[in-house]
Amino acid sequence: MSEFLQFLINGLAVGSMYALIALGYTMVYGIIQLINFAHGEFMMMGAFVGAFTLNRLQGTPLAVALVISMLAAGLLAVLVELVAYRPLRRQPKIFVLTAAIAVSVLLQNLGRIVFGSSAVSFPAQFPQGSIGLESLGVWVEYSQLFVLGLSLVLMAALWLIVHKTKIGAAMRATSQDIDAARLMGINTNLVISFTFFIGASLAGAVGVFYGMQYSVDPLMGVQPGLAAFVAAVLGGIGSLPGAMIGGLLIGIIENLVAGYLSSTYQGAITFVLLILVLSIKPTGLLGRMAPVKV
Amino acid sequence: MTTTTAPLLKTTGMGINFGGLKAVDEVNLQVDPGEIVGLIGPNGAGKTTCFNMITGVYKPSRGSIELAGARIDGKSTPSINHLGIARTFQNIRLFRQLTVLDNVRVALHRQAGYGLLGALLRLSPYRRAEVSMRQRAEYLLDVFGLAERRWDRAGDLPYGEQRKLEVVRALATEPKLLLLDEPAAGMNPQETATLTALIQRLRQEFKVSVLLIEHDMSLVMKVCDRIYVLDYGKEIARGTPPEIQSNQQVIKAYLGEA
Repeated sequence: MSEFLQFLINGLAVGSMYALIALGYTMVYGIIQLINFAHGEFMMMGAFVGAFTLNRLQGTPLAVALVISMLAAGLLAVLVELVAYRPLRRQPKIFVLTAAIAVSVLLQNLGRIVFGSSAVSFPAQFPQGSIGLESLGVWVEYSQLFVLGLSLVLMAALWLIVHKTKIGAAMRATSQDIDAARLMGINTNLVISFTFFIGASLAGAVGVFYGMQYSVDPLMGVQPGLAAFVAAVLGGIGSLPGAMIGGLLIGIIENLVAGYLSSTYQGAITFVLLILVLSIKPTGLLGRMAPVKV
Repeated sequence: MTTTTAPLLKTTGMGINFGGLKAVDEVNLQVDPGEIVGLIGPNGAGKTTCFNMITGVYKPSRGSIELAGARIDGKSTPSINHLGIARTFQNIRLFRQLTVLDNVRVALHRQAGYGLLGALLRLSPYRRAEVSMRQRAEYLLDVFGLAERRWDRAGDLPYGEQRKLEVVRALATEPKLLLLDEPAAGMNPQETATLTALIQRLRQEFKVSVLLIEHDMSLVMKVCDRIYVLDYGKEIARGTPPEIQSNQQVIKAYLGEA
């Protein structure tokens, strides 16, 4: 029992990071029906910016480094959309999708050139250690608590933006009918830029979380990016709660599989899940049928 | 010297090609402030295409479009809306997953004067703006008898109310000119009668001019001051309702050669 609880806690900690990345996938898909395959790279960029800020500018508070990382990842995404996706918006969807894959490869290699291909680590931010829940026999590491707590804060902030602000209302309207939104005076280009910014800044925050626990390298965005993509599909692409639930589920399932079977299967299980979702319920857990545009 | 007020909307030689086809050619429309003008014609005559050019969805191949004397052709759809033109759609295009109230609030959002930070920190300008937007939205819904539906999802409303909500949403953007694309389509006579009263109310209460595409001739003849008739993308007649009703060319376009 305590073993199961431990896997569950580890799963939640990883899963909350997947959830934050998945939110970016699902928001962008909701607005322009694009699977942004470069999304994992925004996380990688956020991680590098965070690591460099903390390593080079000794004494920078973690909170400041986190904000800088989020801003950097967000601005990079706005730039990518502007340069690589927007010019293709009126073309068939496959064009933009291909561009996204190209941007992904480009950013990975740009990372390699700029930051070097050897891994960088974050300076220690927390005292090593964990809080033990003796009676249950489980341990929660400080860094896990930090990640879980901040993930919840960021998700709450996102919910507030989407549901309580005018730009959030414009996002929801744009995701339902972009042409009607334009005719109601909504500047949809701004809404799309903003969506990319918010989604990527969440990924940038995850980059910092990830870097703090593991290390930072140019290909670090690939695996979490794919896991989060599956999470978004599992939850129902386009659905924000779906992305959160999907992310947590993938994190938990990965940890259970690694714990009870073997960590060899940890990555494979994600794709088994993807195949299952696509064959059983292609719209995902909370997804609705995509509106057919005539 | 005579003082002339500029027409609210004026299209001069407006036309557009789709491939080799002249879908709309040489259309000269004019809507004066306070007028309700009809745009009629058989199916495929190019009426909705005219709306799409006026609202910036399509860029006209020829001619010019002026709003209160200033050129608007070539401007983006959102900025044309900001300048004062709003529309409804032939096939209803509400934000179906949003509530009735949110559909109206989204359209009002341009008037809200607060930033993202203010919204997140719930500063008082944000709260004031939200309150006044909410009041404005509720007022509009009330006028159109939709207040009780405010928490329903727009997609769940009955057809006639969805049409009304589209008018409310368009009106919320505070237009000077409202383009209504077949507002009575699919309505029963009872609903059409309500709509007729409503369109007249738009002019009196909200001071908007209306350009109306409609196939229901009893509605058109009742509410319009003047009517333009299109056929095959060209204007074939213009005039007051009685003039149009007795125009031989119009009768021929609708009924074919006798």
